[in-house]
Amino acid sequence: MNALRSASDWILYAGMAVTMYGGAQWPRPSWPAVAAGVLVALGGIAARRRAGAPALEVETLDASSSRRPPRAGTLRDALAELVQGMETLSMESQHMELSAIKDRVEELLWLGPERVGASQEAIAAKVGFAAYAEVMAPLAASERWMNRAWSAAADGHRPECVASLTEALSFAREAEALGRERFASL
Amino acid sequence: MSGAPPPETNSIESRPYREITLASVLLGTVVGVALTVSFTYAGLKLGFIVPASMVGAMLGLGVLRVLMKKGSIVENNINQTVAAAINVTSGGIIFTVPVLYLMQSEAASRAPAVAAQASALGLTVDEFLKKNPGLVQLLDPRLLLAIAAAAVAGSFLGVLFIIPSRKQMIEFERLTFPSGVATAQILKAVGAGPTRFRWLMTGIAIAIVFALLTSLKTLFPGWHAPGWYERTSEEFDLGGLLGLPASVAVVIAVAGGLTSLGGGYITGKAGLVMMVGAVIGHWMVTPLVVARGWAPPEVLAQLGAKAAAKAGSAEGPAFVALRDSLAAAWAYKQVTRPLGVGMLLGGSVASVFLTAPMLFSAIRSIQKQRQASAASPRESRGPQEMSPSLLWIGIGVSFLVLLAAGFLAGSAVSPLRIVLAAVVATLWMWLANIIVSIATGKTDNSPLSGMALITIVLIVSILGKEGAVVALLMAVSVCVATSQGSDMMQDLKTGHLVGAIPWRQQLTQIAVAWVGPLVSLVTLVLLSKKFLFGNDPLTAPQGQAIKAALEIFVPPPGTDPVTQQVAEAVPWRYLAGATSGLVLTLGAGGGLGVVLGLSMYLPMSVTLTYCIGCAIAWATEKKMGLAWVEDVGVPLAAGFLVGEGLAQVCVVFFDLARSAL
Repeated sequence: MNALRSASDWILYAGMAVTMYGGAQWPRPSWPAVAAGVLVALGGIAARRRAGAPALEVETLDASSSRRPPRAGTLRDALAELVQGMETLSMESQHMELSAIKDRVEELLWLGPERVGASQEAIAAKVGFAAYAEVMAPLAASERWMNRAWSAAADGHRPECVASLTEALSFAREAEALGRERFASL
Repeated sequence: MSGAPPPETNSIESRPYREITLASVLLGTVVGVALTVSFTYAGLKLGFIVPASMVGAMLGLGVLRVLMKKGSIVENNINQTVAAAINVTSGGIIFTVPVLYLMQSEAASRAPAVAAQASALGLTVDEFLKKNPGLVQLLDPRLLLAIAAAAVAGSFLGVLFIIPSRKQMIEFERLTFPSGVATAQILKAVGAGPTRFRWLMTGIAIAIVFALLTSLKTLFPGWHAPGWYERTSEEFDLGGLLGLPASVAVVIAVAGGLTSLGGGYITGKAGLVMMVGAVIGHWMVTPLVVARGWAPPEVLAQLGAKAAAKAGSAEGPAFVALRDSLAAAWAYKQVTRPLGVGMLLGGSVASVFLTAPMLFSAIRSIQKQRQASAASPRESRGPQEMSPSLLWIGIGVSFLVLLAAGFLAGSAVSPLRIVLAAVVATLWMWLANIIVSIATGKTDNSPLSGMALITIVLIVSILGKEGAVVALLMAVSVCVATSQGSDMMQDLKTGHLVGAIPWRQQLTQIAVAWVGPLVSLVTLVLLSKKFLFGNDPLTAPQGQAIKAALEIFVPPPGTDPVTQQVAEAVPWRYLAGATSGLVLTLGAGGGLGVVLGLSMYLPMSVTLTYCIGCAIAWATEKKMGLAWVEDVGVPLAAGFLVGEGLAQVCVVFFDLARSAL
C-alpha cells in the first residue's frame, strides 16, 4: 500500500507538470494540455484513495533514536497514559524539583499531544477532520498549559507551575474521554 | 518525592506570574518603533525587512531578565509580540506607498515646467529632480490621510481576521511556523539546559559573522570587491559551475542563506515537497519557455539585442548564455511566477474548503470554553480567546475606515464602485491573510508582493483605469493586513510553545496595531523630502516591481502593444495555475497547492537552500537521532535565523549612522 501511495504522489506531480506545460504556452495557455494534466492528477488522486489512509505515527516512528520513553499501543492508550502521567505529576509537583518537572512535562508532551498531532493526516483520513479536531481541541489546550508549566518552572515560579499543571490535567481528561469515543476505531 | 517537605517560597513565587506588564509593553514599543524607522529606510534601500520578533526576544532576554531581574518567559513573549506587531507593517508600507511617489516623479520628469526650471539652473531634468526631491515628491494631504487610514484599517483587519484561525492552524493543523519556533527557542533558552543554550548561541554567532561578511558592500560602499566576492556574495551559481544551461537555475542563496537553511531545518522532512514545485517551475517551465520561444517575438528580439551588446557579439557560447539567462528572467517573471501565484490562489481556496470543518470545530471549541468560564468563573482561569463579538465589531469599524479611505482617494470614481471595491478588497484580505499564514506556517516564506499584485488586478478590474490610485490604496491595506496577520500567527505559535494565554497576546497586538503603519508612513514622508525614490540610495526595489506590474494592467499613455499583449496573457496564467492548485489540494489535501505554488513563485535560490535545510534535518534525524536534532540541530538552526536578523539590524544601524554623519 505504501508503494501505491508513493506512486500516486508521483502521478499527481506528473499531472501538475502537464498542467503547467499547458499553462506556460504563448500567448494563451493550451487548454487541452491543461485538461490532460488535470485528468492525470485526478488519476493520481484516485490511486491515492485506493492506497488508503497513511499509517499512524506510532507505526512509523523510530523512538529508539530519542531519549524519550517509547510510544506504544493505540492512540487511546496514549491519551490514557498522558492522563495517568499528568495525575502523578500534578500530585507531586508541590514537592518535586522544578527542573524535574520540566523534564517530565517534555516526556508527557511527547507521549500525548505531539503523537496525536503527528498522526493528524492518518486520523483525519480514518475518522474525519471533525472528530480529530474535537479531540485535539482540549488536547492542544492541555499542551499549552503544560508549556506554561514548563515556562513557570524555568522561571522558578512554583505556584504558577502547579496551577498550570492542574489546568493541563483537566483538559487532558476531557481529551481522553473524547478520544475513547471518537478514536474507538483506531 | 511526595514525602519531601515543600521547598521554601522565594521572592519570585510570592508575586503573581508576570505576563502583560508595563515594562514588556514599553520595551516592545521602543524596540518596535526603532526597528520600524530603521527598516523603512533599509527596506527602501534593500527591498526587505527583518521581523522584530527574534530581535525583540533577544533584547527582552537582556533587559527584562538580566537587567531588571524579574522578567518571565511569557512576559518576554508579550514584549516580542508588541515589537513585531509594530515593525512588521513597515513591509506593507514600503512595498506599496513608494509607487505613488515613483509615479509622481515620473510625471514630473515629463512636465515642461520642470524642464524649464532645470534648464534655467543649467541642470538636466534628472539632476534637477535628484537635487529637489521635496519639490516633486509631494502627496496631496487628502491622499496621505487616505493612505494612513487604509494602512491602519488593514493593520487591524489583519489581526482580527486571523485570530479565529489560531486554533485551526496552530493546534489542529500544527503548522510549523519556523520563525515562531526560533523565537520560542530564544524565550526558553534560559531554562532549556546548557547544551541547547550553547548551540543556540553558536548558531547566532556563526550567522552574525556570515551575514556581516556577505554585507561588506553595504557596510563599505566604496570598497572594490574582488570578482569572486561580487559573483558569490548574493548567491552561488552551482548550475553555472556544473555547465548547465543558463535557463536552468541551480542557485544557492548566500545573502540570507542561513535563514533559509535554518527555516528548512526547523520544518524538517515535510518541507522537501517544495522541491517538486521548484523542479516543475524552475527546471521545467522556465527552460521550456526559453527553448520554445513562448514569448512575444519583439521581446525575444530585444533580449537578443541586449545580450549581443553585452557579449560584444551576436553568436558564440557567451552570447547564448547571456541571452538565455535574460530570457529565463523574463519567463520567470511573466510565466512561472504568475502560474505559481495562480496555484497559491487555487490551493488556498481548496484549503479553506477542506479545513472548514476544523475551523468550525475551532470556533465551537472557543465558544464552549468561553461559556464554561462564564458559568464557573472561580474554577476556571478565565477565557483563553478573544470574544467573537469584539472581533466582529472591530472588523466592522475597520471596514468603515477603509471605505472612508477609498472615498478620500477616489474622487474620480463613482461611490457605488468604491463601496464594491472596499467589499472585494476586504474579502480578498481575509483570503490573502489565510494564504500568507499557511505559506509562512508551512515554509516561513511569504508571497506578499504577489498578494499586492492580485489586489491591484482585482480592484482595477472593478474600477477601471481611473481607479488605479484606489487600487493602490487597497493594495497598501492588503499588504499591511497580510504582514500583520502572518506575524500574529508566528507570535501565537511562539505563545503556544511557551504557554502564553492567547487573548493577552491578541489584545496587545491589537492595541499597538495602529502604531507601525503611522511610524513607517511618517518616516517615508520625511525620507521623500531628502531622497528621490527609485534612485541611489533609496532605489525602492519592491515599489519599482509593483509599479511595473501596475503599468502592465494600467498602461501609462503611449504604452506599446507588446506590453499590452503581456498584460492580457498574465491573467490566463493565474487561471491555469489556479486550476492545478485547486485540483491538487482538493485531491491530496495538506495545502499541497499552496506549497507547490509558493515554490514556483519564490526564486530558486530561496527554495533550494530551504530544501537543503529540510534534507539535512532528515539526514541528521536518521543518522544522529531525535535527541540530537532537539538538543543540537534545532537550536543551531534557530540561531541561524536569529543571527542573520540581528546582523541585518546592525548593518542598517551602521548605514543610518553613516548617512546621519
